[in-house]
Amino acid sequence: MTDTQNRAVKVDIWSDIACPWCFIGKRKFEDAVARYGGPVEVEYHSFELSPDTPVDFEGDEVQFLADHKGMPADQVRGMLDNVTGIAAEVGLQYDFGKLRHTNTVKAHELLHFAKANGLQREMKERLLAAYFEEGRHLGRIDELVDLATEVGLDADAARAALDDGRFEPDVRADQAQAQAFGITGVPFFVLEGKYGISGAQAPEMFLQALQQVGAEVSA
Amino acid sequence: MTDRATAAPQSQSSGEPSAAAATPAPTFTMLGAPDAVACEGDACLLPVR
Repeated sequence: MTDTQNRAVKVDIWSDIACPWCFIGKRKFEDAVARYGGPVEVEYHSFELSPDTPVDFEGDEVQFLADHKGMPADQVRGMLDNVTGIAAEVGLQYDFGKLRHTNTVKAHELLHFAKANGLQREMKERLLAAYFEEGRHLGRIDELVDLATEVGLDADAARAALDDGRFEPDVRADQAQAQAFGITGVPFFVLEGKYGISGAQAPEMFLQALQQVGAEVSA
Repeated sequence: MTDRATAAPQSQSSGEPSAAAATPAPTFTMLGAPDAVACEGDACLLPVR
């Protein structure tokens, strides 16, 4: 490790559970962090792409997009196949056939609960895999509690937090901050509060940014 | 699928994105490729090019 990599680079990441590029971008960012080698402090923030989506949407992802965009189902399937292929390139096994389209606000509340208990990154990874690879229903509290226990969170405490919505203000605060920052799409990475990176960049791009900012913070 | 998310230039920087209340937007210096894929609204799976 060089002298320029002593101090952790703080990276705030806005993303949604229901964002295919966020999971792909997460893998590419993690690739860059591994290659960077220096300390990186990551904090995830909530961003709801489609807050009006009901918890129990009847239909699959193809139907949602076809209805929502007025596009032929075959064209939608082609797009999903394309994303699935890109996900596979970074080791993710997306299954849009099983995906349960739902409202993600409770999943975001769970991420804040996990952060309060020191397990936010583990929870984020578990939720993204559950949504895109396993077809789990992330709008339902029972399902979320099951996933919470898988990463080591207390089931009763998680359920109580989701039932009373005590972390919803934290979700709204993240969204308000995103709006104040002018963030309109995700994933969006903020390095040291002053550098912005939009989208699922190539690992080399993330690495270059980490090296640049790491050198600055350690100077 | 859209290809961008922008950070609006503002007058001052809080330097603390995780603050409980929204703070004024900083002027982000954008890094990385400008055409990386991102999700914006419900359009993240739509082809843009």
